[in-house]
This record gives sequence, C-alpha cells and structure tokens, in this order.
Amino acid sequence: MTAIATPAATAELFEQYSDYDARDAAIFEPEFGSTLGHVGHDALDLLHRLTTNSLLDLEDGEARRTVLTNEKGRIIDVIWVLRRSELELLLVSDAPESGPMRQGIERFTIIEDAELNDLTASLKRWYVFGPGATRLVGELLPELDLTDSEIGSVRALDRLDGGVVLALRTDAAGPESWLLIVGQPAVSEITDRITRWGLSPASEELFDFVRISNTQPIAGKESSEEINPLEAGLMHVIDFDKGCYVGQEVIARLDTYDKVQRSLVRFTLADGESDEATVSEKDRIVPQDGGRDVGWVTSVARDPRTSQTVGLAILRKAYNADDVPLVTDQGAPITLLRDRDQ
Amino acid sequence: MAIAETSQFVPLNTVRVTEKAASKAIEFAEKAGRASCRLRIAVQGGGCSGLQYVLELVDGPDDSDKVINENGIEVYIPKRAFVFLAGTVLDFSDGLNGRGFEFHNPNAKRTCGCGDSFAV
Repeated sequence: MTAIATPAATAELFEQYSDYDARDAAIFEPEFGSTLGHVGHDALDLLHRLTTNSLLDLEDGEARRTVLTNEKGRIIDVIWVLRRSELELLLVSDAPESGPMRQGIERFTIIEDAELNDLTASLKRWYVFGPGATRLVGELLPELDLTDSEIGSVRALDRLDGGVVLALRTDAAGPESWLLIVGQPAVSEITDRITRWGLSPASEELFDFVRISNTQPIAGKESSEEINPLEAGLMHVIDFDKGCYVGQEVIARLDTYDKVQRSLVRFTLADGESDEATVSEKDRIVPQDGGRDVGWVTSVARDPRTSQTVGLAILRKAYNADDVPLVTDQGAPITLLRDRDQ
Repeated sequence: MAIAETSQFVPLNTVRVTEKAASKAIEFAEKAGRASCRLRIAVQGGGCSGLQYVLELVDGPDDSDKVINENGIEVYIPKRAFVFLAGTVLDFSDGLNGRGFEFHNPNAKRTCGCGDSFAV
C-alpha cells in the first residue's frame, strides 16, 4: 500500500529509479511468490484439463502461462508451467501463498499419476526487469545464451555450485522481465555476482511502478476469486479452441455474448491531490456523485520522479470513461490513464 | 430406454450398466478385436465442472479396481473414482439427438452442457 511518502522514502525511491534509468534495468528480490513441483506421467495432461491455456504441446525446457480457474470461471491462480522433463513440471506463481494453487489442483487429482511438492522454500527468486533486462541477465549469467528469447523462454544452468538456475522470461513488469529461480546451493554465487556488478536491489515499489506503468497484472493482486481472466486482462492466456477445462463454459459464454463486465485500468490521483489524499490496495471506487461501488484498487505505487500515486484497478466497463468522475471510498479522486498518458 | 431402468433405485455399493450400454460396449470391443468386453469406468479432473468421466476398453483390472459383472461385460472401477460413481447408471442414448454413453450419477450436483463433466 502507499501512504503519504516521507522525504527520505521519496529520496530512496528516486535513487533506485535513477539506477534503473541508467541501466535500463533493475533487480528485485520478491518476498511473494510460490513454486510447486508437479511430478508424474499425468501431471501435464491434468493441468491441461484444469486450466485456460493449451499445454499438451509444451516441450521440455519450455514454459507457458495459464490460469487455474474455478467452476465459476474465476481466478484461483495464474501459473507459469515450466516443463523440465516428461515427468517433471515446475508451477511458478507470483501469488503470496501456494495453498490455493495446490488445493485447486489436488481437489481434482483422482486417478492421475501426479504429485505436488511445495518447493517455495528451497528456490530463491529474483526479478530482473526493465527494457535492458535481457542484457543484465546476460551479464549476471554469461553461461546462458539469451538470443532469440521471447516471453515464455526458459534458459537453464543445471549446476551452478550444485544448484539449478532457471531464467524464465515472464515480462511480469513489462517487456523484458526475467524471473530467476535459483536452487539454494547456487544462491550465494548469484548474490556475489549481483554485488560484483554493483547492483542495489530495487524495492517492491519500484517494481510495482514499472509494472503498473505497463498495465501488467500480477497474481495475488490483479487475480482473485472475485474476477475472471477476461476482466484481469489475461485474454492472451486463454485458448478458446482447446475444449473443456474447469470454468470453460462460463468463460466462453462471457466472451461469446460480450458479457465481460469489468476491466483492468490504470489510474493516477487527480491533479493536485497527491500530497493530501492516499490510496491503498483494496480501496473501493465509487462515482463522485454517489452510488454503489464500481470497482476496487488492486495495486498502488508512487512515480519516483514526481511522487504522484499511480495504480491499477478493476473497474466496471460502464465507468471506464473520461466523463465520469470517480473517487475511492477514502475520498481520493482518481483519474483514469490511457495509453497516451504517461 | 429405459427411463425406468435408469431412475430405479441403484444401491450405492455398485454401478449399473443398462442392457443397451452393455450391448454397445460389446459392439465397440468386437470392433476393436477384443475377445471379451472389459470396460473401465473412471473419473478424472477436468471438464467444465471439474470432474469428467473416463470410459476405456482394457485388458483386465488393476489391483485397486472394484470389479462388477453386469449384462455380459466386466466393469472395472478404480477405488478412488468409485466414491464419485457409487449408484451411477451407465446408459446409451442413440438416434439423431442421442449423446452416446450417458451417466446418470446421483452424486452429481451439477453437470455441464455436454454432459461429460460434473461437480459433486
């Protein structure tokens, strides 16, 4: 959440942004995120039957994003499925807890040869983000060939000091974001390399600022069982031709009959309000003229250059218009940002 | 068919296969070159409602299968799937509007449009 920034905090964020701006990239050690191992002959087939994207053609060493939905077509989790081998998958999420993903899969594991193991504690993560992220990953991990990478690309170092290092291009904060997933034996070597390159880890707020600027949803904030993947801006990870999966009928109906009620929007505090008003995640959004709430705030950060608050929100489509003044339930007036506004 | 046959009380310790479904299963087994009809009925995760039926011709039972002899065929049901299938009648619906094999499952609280998937 964002409250009124102290001058020291603002200066620190500005310094981080200056580093980021100079390198065109930054590194961030998230405290959120979960990783499950999914092992067995039926693991991939089961996930294909439970989630929105088509997974059956996933090859060893490839990753694809998919959404685990419930019977109502609402989001349980957004998952990167990384195929390590025919029998071994890694399920990578930015959600703070692995429980919902685990329960959402185990609930429907009946006769399948598929077992889940929580690997969150044994794998450390770093995000490298920004337009120059691929170059920075290449500097940190010169052993990896990053040419021709695209979203979903995976590069692996199977043994660095005895630990696995996986670089997964997720574009989580915008173009060219990489998630480094590092086994414990290799953590100190990666930490040393980060230090040697003189990289000061960025804060979650800078990561969120860049992510919000690119209108990128993240699991745990822009995904919940209150919304469906179409509302969360995840249309591109739905395969409408793959056939049945849990929640498919609902999602197909919403799309076919154009019944999607809400969308992901970017906003800022209205001009001149930044010093007075605060916005927090989960604040409800209401029309300034009154009436029932029409959405809620999902992510908030400060622009390091101006200290102005920016954020993402889920908003009813009918209110996604310039001529409807909106405020949060805490009284902060918000202005919706379009792509042309930066 | 046999609306009466499917709606009649089926004990929860078994699964019934109607004569028509058994006859169709035997027909498929013969077409597949099998000397006898051994049918596995199971449930797996997936489908719009979360669980979907699985029907397959097999060579014999697995160790954990419940075995039922019904209308001339052998039916195998994995024990982990049986909890979702207890009391079910497997029927066959043909004709222009028929949907092939149909499950009348008293445990299903909701089914999807195509009838292949259900929730308990």
